[in-house]
Amino acid sequence: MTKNKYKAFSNRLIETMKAKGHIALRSPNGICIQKLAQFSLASEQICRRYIRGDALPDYEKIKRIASHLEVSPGWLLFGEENTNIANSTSKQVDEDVLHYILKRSHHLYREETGNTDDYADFVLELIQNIREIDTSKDNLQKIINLAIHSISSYQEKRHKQAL
Amino acid sequence: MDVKPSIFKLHPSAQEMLFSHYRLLRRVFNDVLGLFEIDYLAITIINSKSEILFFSSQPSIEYNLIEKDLWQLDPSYHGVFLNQEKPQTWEMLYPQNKKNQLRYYKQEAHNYSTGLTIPSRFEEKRVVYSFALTSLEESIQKHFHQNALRLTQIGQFCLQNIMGHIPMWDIEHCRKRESSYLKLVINNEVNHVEAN
Repeated sequence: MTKNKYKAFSNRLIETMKAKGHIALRSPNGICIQKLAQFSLASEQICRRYIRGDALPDYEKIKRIASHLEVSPGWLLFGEENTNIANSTSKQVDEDVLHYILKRSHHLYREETGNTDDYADFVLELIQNIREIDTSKDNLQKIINLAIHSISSYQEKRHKQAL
Repeated sequence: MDVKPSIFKLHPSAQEMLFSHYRLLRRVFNDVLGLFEIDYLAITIINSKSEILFFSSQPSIEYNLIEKDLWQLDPSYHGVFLNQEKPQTWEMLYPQNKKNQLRYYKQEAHNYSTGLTIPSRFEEKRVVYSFALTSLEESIQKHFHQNALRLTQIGQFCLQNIMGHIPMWDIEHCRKRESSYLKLVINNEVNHVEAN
């Protein structure tokens, strides 16, 4: 649910896919997601997230994608744009809030799906939601606690269902 | 659209439930965000007590609507809209107006360019599916608006997933029914016990 965090990467991926002819006229972005899934060995669902700039492939997938598209993995990931973090327009994160969330949640969040970005996305999306909520600090604390607790209750239910 | 308060009440745990299932909802909604370029999906359920609760891919929106009492003014939750059973664009539901706080919290604060709200039913309950995009591309917006049926199916898919994990007594806001047991007694011996 992180919005277009990796937009620059997704723009390069879309441009290159189009240049190589992997086009699907019916697709909103004009890209054939199935082709991308085929040569990256990723699911179509995660490929949609790559195209939207919501996720970044891991290094193995970047190498496969870059190799198939005949571009350098480094260019695909970073392009030639200025990656100076100081120039970033992203909002500052409240360090106390970040610290609290990381401290309370890291031991609860196991790698369930194999997507190592998932925990980082969970934390960042929670912070993004917290930042947008207009309420007291006490209420924000409660919300964070609820969201963190939902990790373990979700895992418990999944464990029970698996038995 | 009328702006009288909704006839429905807020579920007592509406705000809490936005985040108490955050992990689950995140997983469910992430599976579908991106289809038709949607950036936001929220599901509103009206339970048998006419109480409203929400599940959202961006729960801060609904939290703010409740916090500011704006949810009551949202035409999506009014009888007039629900009874007509047709999708409605956000341009119609939330007209552009400097004083429109509802539009601000729901749409402008998140840069959604357009949205669609669809009243429906799920297992005899009234539900409302809301979707929104950030894309400014006309072709994408057109494609989105023309696929209300497919969007409804996406909403149903998500709701089915959600209901598979959230107990009905949470939705209905009632106490969990204590299990009772049936015993089969033959010749004064208990032969079989079964949960009711």
